[in-house]
Amino acid sequence: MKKINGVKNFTALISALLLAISFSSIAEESAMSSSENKSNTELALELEQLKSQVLKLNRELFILEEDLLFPASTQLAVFVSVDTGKFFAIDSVEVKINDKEVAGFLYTERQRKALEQGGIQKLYLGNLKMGEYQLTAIFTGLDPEGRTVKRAASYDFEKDDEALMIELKVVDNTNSYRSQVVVEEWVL
Amino acid sequence: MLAYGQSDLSEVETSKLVKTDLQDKYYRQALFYYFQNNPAKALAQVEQSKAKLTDLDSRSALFEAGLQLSAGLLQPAKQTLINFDSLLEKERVAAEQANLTDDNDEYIEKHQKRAVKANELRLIALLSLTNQYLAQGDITQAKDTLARITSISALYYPEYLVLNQLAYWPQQNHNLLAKPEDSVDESSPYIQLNNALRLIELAQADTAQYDVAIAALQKIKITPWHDEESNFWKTLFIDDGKITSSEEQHKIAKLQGQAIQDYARLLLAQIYISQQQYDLAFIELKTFPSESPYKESALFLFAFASQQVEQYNIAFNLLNLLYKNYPYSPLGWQSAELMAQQVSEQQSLAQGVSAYQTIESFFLQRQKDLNDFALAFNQSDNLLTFSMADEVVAGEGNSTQYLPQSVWLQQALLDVDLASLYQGLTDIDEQTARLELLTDKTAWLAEIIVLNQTRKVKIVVSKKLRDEQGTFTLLLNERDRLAALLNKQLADEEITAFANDDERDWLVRIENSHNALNAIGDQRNTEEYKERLARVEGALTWQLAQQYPQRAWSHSKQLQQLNKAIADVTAQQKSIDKLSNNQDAIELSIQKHKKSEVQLNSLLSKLAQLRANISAKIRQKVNAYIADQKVILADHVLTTRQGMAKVLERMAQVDKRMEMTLAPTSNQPTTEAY
Repeated sequence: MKKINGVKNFTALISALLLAISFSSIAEESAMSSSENKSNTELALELEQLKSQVLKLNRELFILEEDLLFPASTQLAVFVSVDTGKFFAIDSVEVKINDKEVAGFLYTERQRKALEQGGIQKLYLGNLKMGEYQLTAIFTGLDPEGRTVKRAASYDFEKDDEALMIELKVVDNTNSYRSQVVVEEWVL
Repeated sequence: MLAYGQSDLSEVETSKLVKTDLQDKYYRQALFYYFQNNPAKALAQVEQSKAKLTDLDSRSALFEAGLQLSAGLLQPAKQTLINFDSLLEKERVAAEQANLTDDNDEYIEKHQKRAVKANELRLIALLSLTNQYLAQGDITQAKDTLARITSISALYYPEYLVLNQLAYWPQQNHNLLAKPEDSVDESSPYIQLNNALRLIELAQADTAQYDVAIAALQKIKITPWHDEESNFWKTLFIDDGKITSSEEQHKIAKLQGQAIQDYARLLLAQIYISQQQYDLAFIELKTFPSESPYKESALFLFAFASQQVEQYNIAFNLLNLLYKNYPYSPLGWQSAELMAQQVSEQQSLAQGVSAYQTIESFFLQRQKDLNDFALAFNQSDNLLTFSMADEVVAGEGNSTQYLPQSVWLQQALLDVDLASLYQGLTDIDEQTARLELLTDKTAWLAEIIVLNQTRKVKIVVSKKLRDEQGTFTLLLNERDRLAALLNKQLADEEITAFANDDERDWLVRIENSHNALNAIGDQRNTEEYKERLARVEGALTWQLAQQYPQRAWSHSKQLQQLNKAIADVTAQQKSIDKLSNNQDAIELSIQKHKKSEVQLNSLLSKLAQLRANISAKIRQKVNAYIADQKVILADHVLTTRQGMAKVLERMAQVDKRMEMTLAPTSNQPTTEAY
């Protein structure tokens, strides 16, 4: 058997290849020609600015839409939040105003977890004339034993010419080992 | 205001009015989307909250910065973080004032807790921002962001050190913050790997550094690495807002730990080979995991080391495997040449020629592939639809990623700049899609504005008609008259004032009777009539007196109800007045709408222009890559043909020697067989 010849400078090639791998690749970017880098950075910056403008425009149109469709004088918003979901795994909710169903929602596992981790869901946004109303919310879910249970709340409120925000909170009661629905009217 | 509800709907309680913490409520609305792995929607929610609340508190601002980072909005995120100190200071002052003027302990406690946590969060954010700049190759911004860090805790020091190493590579940051006293000695594997890499570089000048590098790498390759647990903020900033399950996190951490060890082994083998300690490199790579991300490089090094330690069968199999499994890789191409060379030297010259011919056709095929790819690539109209993979994985609200089918493009995309440009193209398409949705929305909003205008015109006409008829004024006058009358009657306590119709008839009849009796006078004896009339009058007066309080209350109540009805109508009237006089609001909406339309068109055009620029840049880069590959392949074809020529030459020499041997006058033996 003969030893291989003619692989001169092969070790240097391997070194170069290895140093190009992964971790050092970022560091090597700094060695790139500055003009090429600058041009890429400029493009990235331009894209970033356009993204910001799209975001801003989206925000402005959202507010315009809300002003036109749900002016503060008639606006009613209903939110849902969940404490920890220890005694009640939320499955669905149904909301009625003066016995008329206005909103309903079926929760996915991910949405339920998002609520249990502190999220607040805007369930309903609508218009109401000034006057007195009764809101009824019925939650369906599972108790720790996996049985289907319902929790409900009713709330009388008066709509004036200011926007009204009502939060339906599913709160765990550690004394009774069950959950209850607490209705909170936001004080603006 | 609070109310508690149970299944029987009976339990209702109220509590004192405390102003709702809207910052918290809006923040949690954004969280609802974030925890559904939809950072784009969460960011939109935060932006809307910001518009409604004017300012965001420190927690929401930091959350916004994190979401901006995940959306690739580095500059706004950096600006938020730079202004963060002043925001904290503002909150501290507000909390102190609240402490002086208010007994709201909950409010003060909340602010104190936030302030304590804020610096840590800012630090995480700055580290993450640096990381993003480094990923984009923007070293200047990365250094600038690192310079914003003024203090560092032991927990984050390793990460800070790694980012400094990367930003200042191959130099060192001379303004590095001092290591906190309670920090563990550089335990991060990345720090140790970077240190080893630096030692390898230094060893080019001072070979003694190799021993130190070897010792460090030996330690890294046997140390099990565990990923530290991430809290919410670390997940938000550092993990690009991707929510993964604990199982996935564990799997990723395990893979990362293995990859670190594999890389250390690869570096070790590389050092051994550079020191011509091929036996050690062979041993090091003999048990290299087949599923490692570095397997291609490891296979090549192992094949080379095998050749050097005369393990030719292993070397042949590995080289064969490499060039067949990685036909588009430079390492695969090198392997092909080495394999042909080994065959011609270890086996026979004829087999060598055959191997070279195979390799030559392999390279020619690669050249053809490359030309085909170049032609197709340059003819493609849309770079993102060119050679697109069947499945592109993208979560809801997450940015998509271009995954080409073409191996050439996959290889080219290993270049960070090119990958970043492709990502830019994907982002532009996403933004354009968003703008198209917004265009639909503006069309819809235009219809709503027209409807509102029509409705308003109707209201104004109706109001004008009512004003002309003076209906409301007449009603008010009548109410005032009745109220005055009632007040007078109540003041006079006139018991007949609230008599009903029958009673009024009776009163009239009594009055008539009195008149009749007065007219008769003394002409007849009317005493009996007068007595009877007095009795009837007395009975009626008694009845009216009995009913008076109840009837007076009833009338007062009716007046109150009338007042309330009039108040409601007045409020409604005011609301209508407000609406009919509120021309400015609709005008403002129209202006905003028009402005939005102009902005939309402008943005769409700018995005199209940027897309064209980026596409041109991508084409330029990919063509440069193609040109490089062509040069490399041409070089391989050339060296392959030279190798083959050498073998053929040797065959010719052998033939010549054989001819001479076979000739009757020649007795020279041959030393080489086919």
